[in-house]
Amino acid sequence: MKASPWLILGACLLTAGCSSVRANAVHTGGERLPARTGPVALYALDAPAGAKELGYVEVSAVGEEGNVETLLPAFVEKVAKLGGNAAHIEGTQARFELVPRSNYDTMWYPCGFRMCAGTRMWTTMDEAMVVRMYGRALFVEGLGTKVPLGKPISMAPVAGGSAR
Amino acid sequence: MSSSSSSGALFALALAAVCLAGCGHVETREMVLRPNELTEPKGRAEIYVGAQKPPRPVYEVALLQAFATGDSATLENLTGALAARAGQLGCDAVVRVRVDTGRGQSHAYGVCARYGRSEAPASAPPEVAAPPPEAPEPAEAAPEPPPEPVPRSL
Repeated sequence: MKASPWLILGACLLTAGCSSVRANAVHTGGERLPARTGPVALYALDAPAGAKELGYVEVSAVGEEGNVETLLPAFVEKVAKLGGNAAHIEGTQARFELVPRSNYDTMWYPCGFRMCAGTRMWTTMDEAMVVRMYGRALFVEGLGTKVPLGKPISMAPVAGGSAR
Repeated sequence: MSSSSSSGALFALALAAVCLAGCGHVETREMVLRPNELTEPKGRAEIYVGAQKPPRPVYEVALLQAFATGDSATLENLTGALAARAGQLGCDAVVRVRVDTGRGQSHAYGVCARYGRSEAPASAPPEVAAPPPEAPEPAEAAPEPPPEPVPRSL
């Protein structure tokens, strides 16, 4: 049996750094802020009082990549691109899709005085899990001046006490 | 008893153990938002599904996920895994729990939380901190330094 061409293609894609992570963000409302660097505060329960909503953010990944360690950095990056200094994670959910997968098998068998090759193809349905994290990009006035909990984070230059 | 027969018996025993235990596994993943607030492991944390509110105010410590496959992909196993992991992280409760089930695998999510109020919001860990934007703004860009004089060759 030899390696299927789909397996080789998949290996090439993997080694080329192909990722299933998809991130989308849209501005909502009338507030527009430039993209920012620096820490982003995270709210996984309730959004802080007085926060300005900048946009809606959604990130998703398939299979092994559908975990919080992979999704959260992409989520934070999108929040920062919308100009937010706080991210409100509203939820994380999974959906399951049946994905057809083609399988190839090559076998060798004796035919007369030589060996002949035969290939067969069959399709199986694999269940793929798509994990989606969604929430809001927020701007909270004065948040950038507070010392965040946890490990020290390199702070972006703060001008005039503003986190922008 | 020969070595081959004893190894065969061991294999049969292991196979029987696997069959009795069922196929599948449960795995938990987490993203700790407040590493300084992790405390000694506690017992199993309380589970609050969906919009159900805990009796006291809570603040988030970590995001938790549980994956399960095969026979282990049950609601009990997933919520149990979340509660156990949250207890190990020193959390009192897992709130906003949501479980999604497929044909052969399941996924659960919840926020590992502790009772009380926190003075500051949780921050993204350093490795999650926002990267610099792709194109800096022209207004904030520093003016270009004057070109250095190029030495002339004689």
